[in-house]
Amino acid sequence: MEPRNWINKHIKELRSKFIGKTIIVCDNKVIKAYGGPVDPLKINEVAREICKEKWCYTYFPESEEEYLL
Amino acid sequence: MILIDVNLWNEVKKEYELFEALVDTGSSYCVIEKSIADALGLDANGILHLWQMGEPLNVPLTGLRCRYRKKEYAVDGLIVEIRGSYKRPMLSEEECTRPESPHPLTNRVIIGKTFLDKLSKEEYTKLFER
Repeated sequence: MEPRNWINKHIKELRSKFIGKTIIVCDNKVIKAYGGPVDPLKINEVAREICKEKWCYTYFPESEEEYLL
Repeated sequence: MILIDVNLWNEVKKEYELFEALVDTGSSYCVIEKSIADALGLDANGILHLWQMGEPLNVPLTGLRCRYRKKEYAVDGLIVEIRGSYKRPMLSEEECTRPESPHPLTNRVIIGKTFLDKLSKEEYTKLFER
């Protein structure tokens, strides 16, 4: 399964388990979690070393985003 | 909220970088945060004048080389500078009126109409399928 699709499928349980954290997902599992938001370039650097092929990341903020862009 | 994965070209490392992207059909332009744009080696190639209440907002324009679902796109983007304290969660002792969560552009890019308008009808429809 594509990593983004896997996140979307498990979004509720992931949000409750990793609230306030950034996760990297590959091979249908969470392979790393960080506290808070992380620079995407640093995430890619780590993911390239750990993941064989595709990966993705997401951040679960503690509150819903209130910013107006 | 629709999040997708988009690759942006890193002019410094000469390779694509994966970004979580927030699809915003109300945004005319794609938007990237300045420190990320700097790390990707993106140059400003103009200024966009946005007319808003109070005062005009002048925002640097840039060109983004994107890859989405194995297809490449060249799109216009805006570079927005976010104050450092807005890039982290609000601290418990912090007295301010800012939202508690970090600014969405801290670790994401915004995909606006400059990108969405280049997608085929099929690709565009797929974005909203769940």
